[in-house]
Amino acid sequence: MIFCEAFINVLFKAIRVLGTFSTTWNLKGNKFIGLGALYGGAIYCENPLAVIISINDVYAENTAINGGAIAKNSLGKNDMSYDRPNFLNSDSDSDYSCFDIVCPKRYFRKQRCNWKGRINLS
Amino acid sequence: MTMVAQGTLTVTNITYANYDGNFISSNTPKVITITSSLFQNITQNTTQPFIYATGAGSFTMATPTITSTVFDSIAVRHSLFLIEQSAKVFTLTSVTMNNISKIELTKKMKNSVDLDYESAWPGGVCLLSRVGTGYKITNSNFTNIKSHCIGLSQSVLTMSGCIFDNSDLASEYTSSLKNKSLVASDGVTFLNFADGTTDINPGNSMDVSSNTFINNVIFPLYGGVK
Repeated sequence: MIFCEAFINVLFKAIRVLGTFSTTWNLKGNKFIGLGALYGGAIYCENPLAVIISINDVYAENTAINGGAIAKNSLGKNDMSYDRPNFLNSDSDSDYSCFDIVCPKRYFRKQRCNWKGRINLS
Repeated sequence: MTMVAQGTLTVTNITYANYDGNFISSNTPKVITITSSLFQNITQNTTQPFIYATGAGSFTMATPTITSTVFDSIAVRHSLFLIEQSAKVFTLTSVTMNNISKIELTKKMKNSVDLDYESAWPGGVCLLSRVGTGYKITNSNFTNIKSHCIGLSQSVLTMSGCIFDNSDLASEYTSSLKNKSLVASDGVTFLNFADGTTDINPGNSMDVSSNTFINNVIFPLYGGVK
């Protein structure tokens, strides 16, 4: 385990979305590398109610522990679609690779993913 | 020195260094254009941001723009830039921000304005916006940012070709963790989005494409907005 105990109590990430949000958001061709987050090293959505996020051609490497590349908590109702994401080693030691375990499966539409770890959707 | 602009403000090829104070105050300049300038070694130890544009009627003449300009080693209480209530998009092109940090404030140091920032704004030490505004950022670099970098509330962001890189802070971060008890809210983020709405004046669609986010493993933020 490459992260110390103190480290995993901290949320470092690239993009954090908080609160009520009603916006269509296109994320295309972004790279997220070595962000060292607990959840969602690239993108973390906390309680977003209506975010529509399209994530295309994203590359995320060594980003986080749980929900390594992208995560959200259980309260959010945002919708996400994925097209050709490439998540490499984005999950250091857990069962969750690309998404937070508490995220309802129905909110995701995976398309042509290049998964490099295990996926465990609730 | 405090520069207050009521009309057009154009700054070109200046070097603004080793100074403690406001560059642009809150008197809502209608046009802000800064080109090929350097802002370096500045401590902005006031409750006002370095550039602050707010209130009805601001930006009615043109879109504020900053091009090919460097902001280096600047410490602020809250944010370098703050815009709100303008229904305009602040444009940054080929801008470099390096070593931007927050001034550590004790409870005794904080006044009512500081507390208002903490309660009403998302954290964003580089760029902050609220209420129907937005930023358009192209081909810009953000390095060694020691707090939340960009904070937006009811605002939109269009960004491409930008690099966010805190790699040089990794060793400093590791040492700062020793003997500290951290909580989840201690963490920081490059892009920090708070509430948004569908009736944002610049639009309700954000496009954040072809950017790179690297090694945001820095020490917890301190002082001011969390």
